[in-house]
Amino acid sequence: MHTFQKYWHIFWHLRKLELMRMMEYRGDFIFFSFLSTLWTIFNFFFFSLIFNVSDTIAGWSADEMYLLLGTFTILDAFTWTFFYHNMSSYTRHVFTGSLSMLLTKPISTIFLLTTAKNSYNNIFRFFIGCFTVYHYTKKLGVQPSVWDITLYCLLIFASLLLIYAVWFITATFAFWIEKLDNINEIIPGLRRVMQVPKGVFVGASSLLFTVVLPFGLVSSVPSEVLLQRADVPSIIWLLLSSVIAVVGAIKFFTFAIKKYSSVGN
Amino acid sequence: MTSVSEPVISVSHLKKHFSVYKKRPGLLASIRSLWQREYETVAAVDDISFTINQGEVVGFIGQNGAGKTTTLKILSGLLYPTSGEVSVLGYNPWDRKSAFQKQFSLVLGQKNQLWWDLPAMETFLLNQAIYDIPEAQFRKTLNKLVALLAVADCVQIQVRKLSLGQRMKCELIAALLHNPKVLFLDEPTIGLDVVMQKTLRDFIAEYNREFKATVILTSHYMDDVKELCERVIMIDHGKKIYDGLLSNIISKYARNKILSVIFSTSVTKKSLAEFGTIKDWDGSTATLLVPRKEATKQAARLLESLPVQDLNIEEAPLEAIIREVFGNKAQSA
Repeated sequence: MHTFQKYWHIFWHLRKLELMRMMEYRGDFIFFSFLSTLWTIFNFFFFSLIFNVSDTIAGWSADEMYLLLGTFTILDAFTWTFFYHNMSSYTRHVFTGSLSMLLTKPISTIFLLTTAKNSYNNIFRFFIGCFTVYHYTKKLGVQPSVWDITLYCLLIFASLLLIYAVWFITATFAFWIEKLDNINEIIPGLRRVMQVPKGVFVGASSLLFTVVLPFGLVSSVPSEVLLQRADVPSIIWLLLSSVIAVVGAIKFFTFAIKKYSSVGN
Repeated sequence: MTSVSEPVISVSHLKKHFSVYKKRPGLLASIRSLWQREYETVAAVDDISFTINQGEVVGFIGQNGAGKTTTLKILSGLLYPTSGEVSVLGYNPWDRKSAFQKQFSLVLGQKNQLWWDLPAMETFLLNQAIYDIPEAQFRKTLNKLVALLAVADCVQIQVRKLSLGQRMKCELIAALLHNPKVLFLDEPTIGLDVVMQKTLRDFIAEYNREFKATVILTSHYMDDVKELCERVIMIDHGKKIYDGLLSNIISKYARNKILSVIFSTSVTKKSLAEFGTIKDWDGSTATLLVPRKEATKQAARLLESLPVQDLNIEEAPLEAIIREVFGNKAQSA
């Protein structure tokens, strides 16, 4: 209990520090908040262009698709709020040797690497995502139960864990590869996979993006839960794969840290 | 976990080897390195053993790349050794147990833990949470450290706006808030002016006295070592070449003593040659290097043979002796 309280306290202390840091550079905050909101609007616009010439995508109507995009926007806002900054910082720590300062602290290094940084530029996108999901659920006339909403939240959490863990595993390769600037662009490069229904993946791509690396499920499955048409195997696999990925990330880090050579002074 | 009689730090046959990429110069070599790279194994630490007791301040002396920092990083649990045994405060450092990490601190002069964009005080508060420091103890220690280092005006200013000296003082405070029993200081005074170096040295000495803390210090500034360390460990190419009192280095390695002479009338350079190696001469004064064993005899001869007004017999400066030790090693290597 004490450990949980300590970590909880440190987590919020770090958020406070980042908030204070953000306020030191408010111009940066305003500009990037504007840009990230613009990206989100453009994303919806992009799909609206498709629906001008087609009624469905893999069996999903425009309103259902916008609900899925709302779910994706929530995930993406979290991803850019926490993961991008922490993973960039993680690989930089390994490359410059400043990881040394974190490794000597009496606290989980993974926790510090994962939570030390964040940005607040994507807060607006998070609210846009929440509003979109709420709006289209209502518009579609779906009435999700408390259980549906709870499961939806749980699956969003599992999806975030999956994205985080896979990204962490990718970033951990920095222990072997001396300098790889683009290592943190791999997961953002797969964002397209996350914002389409899982039905678009067929054959080998289905095996790859719904089984091996199930990023194709992260927006689809929670949205299907709200639409009350989710299949149980997909729910189980999304939950299970997130747990497997997190355990794998921790084990891989523990193994990789032995390769840490710091840098000469 | 450690009783007073046991060494706080115990290192036995420690080895750390790195595989280092060797790149030949030139564009052609760079192109070739895309598919074929040559690696060589470098013994950064090569079979080092020593023990350090509670309250000792030990200086690690060695040239760049000698293995000093690597040893400190192994003792801090940052690096896994290739072989050998290490115990710090009764713990295996690379187990990285929380109980161990709360009892030591590592200060790397060229790395910082302070949050760059925020006042140092914010890092202190974060460390309070990370190290579980009770509020009363935190305030007491902080006030004391801030007063000792005279940084009351600095701790509320953004770190990036502080001078290097102010930053280093704040780094030390961040590292000492949890009252560590063991302190690893790697070049803590690097880049600082002489006044600031002296302030930090006095502070480290005071901390050692008050908390009976064990300190290992690496520094290229001999003044740091001379003022703080009774005992030194000299490392060269990963090997320990000396472990003992700093004062004994002179008797062990210094071959010459220095005779400084002032003459009442001018003397020729030729007339001095028979007494020793002439280092400086301007007619009325001279400095001679004389083998240690002959120093007294040659001084007596000088007094008898030449118009000496004043004569001093001095030991060679420690810096020069150490430079000579490492110089000879480098030549023989």
